[in-house]
Amino acid sequence: MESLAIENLSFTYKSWNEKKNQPLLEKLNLTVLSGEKVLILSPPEGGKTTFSRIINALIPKFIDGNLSGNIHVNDKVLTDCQPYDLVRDICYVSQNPLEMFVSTTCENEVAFPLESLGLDSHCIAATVHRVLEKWGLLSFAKASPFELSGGERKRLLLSVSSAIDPSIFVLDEAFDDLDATWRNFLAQEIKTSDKTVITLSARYLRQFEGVFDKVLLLEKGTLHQVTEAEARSLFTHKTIESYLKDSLLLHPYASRVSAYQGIRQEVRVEGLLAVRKRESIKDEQPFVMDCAHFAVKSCEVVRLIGSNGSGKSTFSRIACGLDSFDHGSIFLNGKKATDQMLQSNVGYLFQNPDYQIFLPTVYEELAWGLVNAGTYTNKEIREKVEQCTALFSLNLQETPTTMSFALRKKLQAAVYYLLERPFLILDELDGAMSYEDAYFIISELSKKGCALIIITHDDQFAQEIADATYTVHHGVLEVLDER
Amino acid sequence: MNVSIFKQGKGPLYLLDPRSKVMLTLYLCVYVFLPVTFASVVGVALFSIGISLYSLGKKNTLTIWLSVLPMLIIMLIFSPLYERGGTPLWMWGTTVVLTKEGLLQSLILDFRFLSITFAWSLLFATTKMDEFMLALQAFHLPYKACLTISLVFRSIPDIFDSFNDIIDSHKLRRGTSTKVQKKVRHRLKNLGPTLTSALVVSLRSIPTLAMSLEARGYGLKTKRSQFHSLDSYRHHYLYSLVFFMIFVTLFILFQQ
Amino acid sequence: MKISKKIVNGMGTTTSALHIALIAVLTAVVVVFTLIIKIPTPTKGYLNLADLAICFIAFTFSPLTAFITGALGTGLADILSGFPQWAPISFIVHGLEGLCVACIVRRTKEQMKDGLKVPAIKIVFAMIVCMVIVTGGYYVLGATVMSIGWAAAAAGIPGNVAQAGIGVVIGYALSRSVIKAYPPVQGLL
Repeated sequence: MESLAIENLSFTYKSWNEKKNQPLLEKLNLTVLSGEKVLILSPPEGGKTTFSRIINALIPKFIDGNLSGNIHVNDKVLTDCQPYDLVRDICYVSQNPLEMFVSTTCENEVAFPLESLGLDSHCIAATVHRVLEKWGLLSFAKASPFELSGGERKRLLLSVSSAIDPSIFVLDEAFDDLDATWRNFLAQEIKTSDKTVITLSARYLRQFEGVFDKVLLLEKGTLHQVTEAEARSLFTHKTIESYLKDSLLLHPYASRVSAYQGIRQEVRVEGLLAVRKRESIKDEQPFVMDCAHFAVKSCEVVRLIGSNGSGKSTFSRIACGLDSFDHGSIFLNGKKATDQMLQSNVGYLFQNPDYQIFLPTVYEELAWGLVNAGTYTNKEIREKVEQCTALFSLNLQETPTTMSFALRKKLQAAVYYLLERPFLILDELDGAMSYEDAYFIISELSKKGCALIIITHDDQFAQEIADATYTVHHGVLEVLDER
Repeated sequence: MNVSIFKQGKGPLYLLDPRSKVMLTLYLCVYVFLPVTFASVVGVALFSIGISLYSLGKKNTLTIWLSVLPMLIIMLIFSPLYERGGTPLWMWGTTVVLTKEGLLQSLILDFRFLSITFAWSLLFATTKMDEFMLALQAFHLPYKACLTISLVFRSIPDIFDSFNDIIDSHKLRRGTSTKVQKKVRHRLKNLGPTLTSALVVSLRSIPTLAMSLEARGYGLKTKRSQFHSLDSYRHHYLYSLVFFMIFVTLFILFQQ
Repeated sequence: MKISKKIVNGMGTTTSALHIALIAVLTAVVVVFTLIIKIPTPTKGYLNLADLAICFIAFTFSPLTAFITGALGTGLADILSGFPQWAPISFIVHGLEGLCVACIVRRTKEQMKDGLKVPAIKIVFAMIVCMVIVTGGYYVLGATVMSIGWAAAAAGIPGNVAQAGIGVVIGYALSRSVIKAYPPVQGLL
């Protein structure tokens, strides 16, 4: 029996300005048999999330767009169904758990769909207990989903889907936030389940080996099948030369800094200690940020690696002057730095680019900082902005909030490119866009002499170009290696 | 952000059915407005404070007391304006500053206000929000309204956290210029971009929240069941009736 | 090949999930705006940005939405900040505020697309109505139902007038900048 039959699916998002949008998915075909395990690989912005939502009947119902084609889910015609009609048929585990939560406690979160299905309270209680135990969240039953870490939230979403137990699971980057143990557990669950599972991912993880019956590539709006070996070679990190053809970044630090004509600056952290009270439900020891030594100079690229919750953002917030610390010192060019000094010199590209977007066009967003500085003429501003948009492949008249996530991230980087902060912290840049684009941004910023601190949980990203790598583990920041 | 006003404590209030507690609070609020003696209003106020001390402890009771103290003092300050034609208590030269009836009037306002404050504070401090919502549903508040309120509680920490991050993000983007940033004009000007981003980020979450609700079955014609219920509480009708009788008796005894 | 029909945005009779999500998020916005900046005053408790949020909603969304979010938002904010006794009054006063301002400045979808401007006279009228409702509401209900007396209630007047007046003006400005920055909000109306 066919779980999912898609014929000639095409989808284009609605355009909110005069410009017509390009179709995201074009004449896509897919057949998935009952019980089959399918892996769909696609680079960021390839249409994975849109595709997942379409087959759950959530788009175009909640986000406007033009959909055409034939879709059958368990022999039901999708366009005749409302999302709630398909609860038992297909379940969507989102890439971003936070946006899917509807309750104030974990157990209520799992219970919500069961209440919708009209199950009696004993049955609900038994199911809630069973799935929370399975996914290791029993101790969090009465806690709020917001108190959980990234990995725990992902597991909560997976618990909800286990509780619903539909015939088709759609897992959008479900492996992403999980640590190795849980990734292995999830891979095992998928392999041994008799349900249909469609997994979507931007990277080929080693846990995927031998789990899936078919591997497909979502490229240019359509799907085509590939072997596991091809998938592995396309979706794992390639050599740095393939991403950065003749960038200065491939050269040692000495030649990079001699090519740079501007002022050479340095931030140094010595003996830093910061104590943070924990706000979770458990009475734990306070979190202590401990950094004996950290330094970054103009033109340098430094990596900060650590798992979720290890203290990367605690350190970053201190480094840009947003939060205070209890002991130690931070020096900017040899002088002790105040919060104000750090805030003016260290920029922080938050993971969510929407935190700084507020203007109707890309042009206005980029020009705003320059206008406020008051030192440029209108002509100079226009020139700078146009040059910047060409460099970052942005469209001057587009509305930022309607651009894709990767483009908004690029805009965020472009804004800071024009602001010319001597130090920049890039938080999880590689998760938002393709490796090519991420390396390009790093290269351009470094060319301007910017000292870059790259935060990532992918230990392969930027490994060859980093002048130093620091790790953060339970609040302790130490140097791992230097180039 | 703390969205829980529930405070751990002890005593019968924690064991009482939320439905009875709501009725008790309402009866008390009505009673203090009825034409009853000054003494009985003072009695009700002191009794509420006493229950608070027993159930919530000294620290929590003090917090409630301090939150309304400024208001109580202001009300007392205005006593000279009441009942100017009454028995003079305090004269300044030949002008009557304060009358006995005036003081009494403002004191009764104070104690009434105190009773209402403690009654509502006790209700929310001793009842978990989940159970309070179930009580409202029992009073025939439609499920849609209860779900909306529950979603509000779910959204508040999220929006609060992103608000703080947005303020920080804009702060860093602005940097600090050489101009004096303390001027109110600059502060207001800086508020605009921050509030715009904050509102856009919140509005963005609406379609995905709606998606989640429907994907989890909201909208199905089948009748929704309830995971939690108030069945563990017994005889709530009896308690509500007893409370009603108590206040009726008090009224009969202390009416003016 | 079958062309599927476009499923219309769920503000219609098919589902109320979008409507619930809208009201819930906007109410939460009102709560956060009310609680995030608190300037303590001796009378009601604190000056805040509640009116700003409610007016923003009144300029951008329907009168019903403005009523519910204003009422629920401020009521919940009062409960959460330790002033539950004021919740019923805030509910009525700010609910009415949202309803009236939204009715006064209401524009059709077509008018919204045309530059989002509201005639100055309507803004001034909205300001006056807002100030009267908020100030008058707290004054009357404060003195009677809350039993703080006519005199003490009067002490709250200047703060309420300022909050209401500024709220309308900035709420209008915010409404325009948000709609320009995020056009899809028009699909939520």
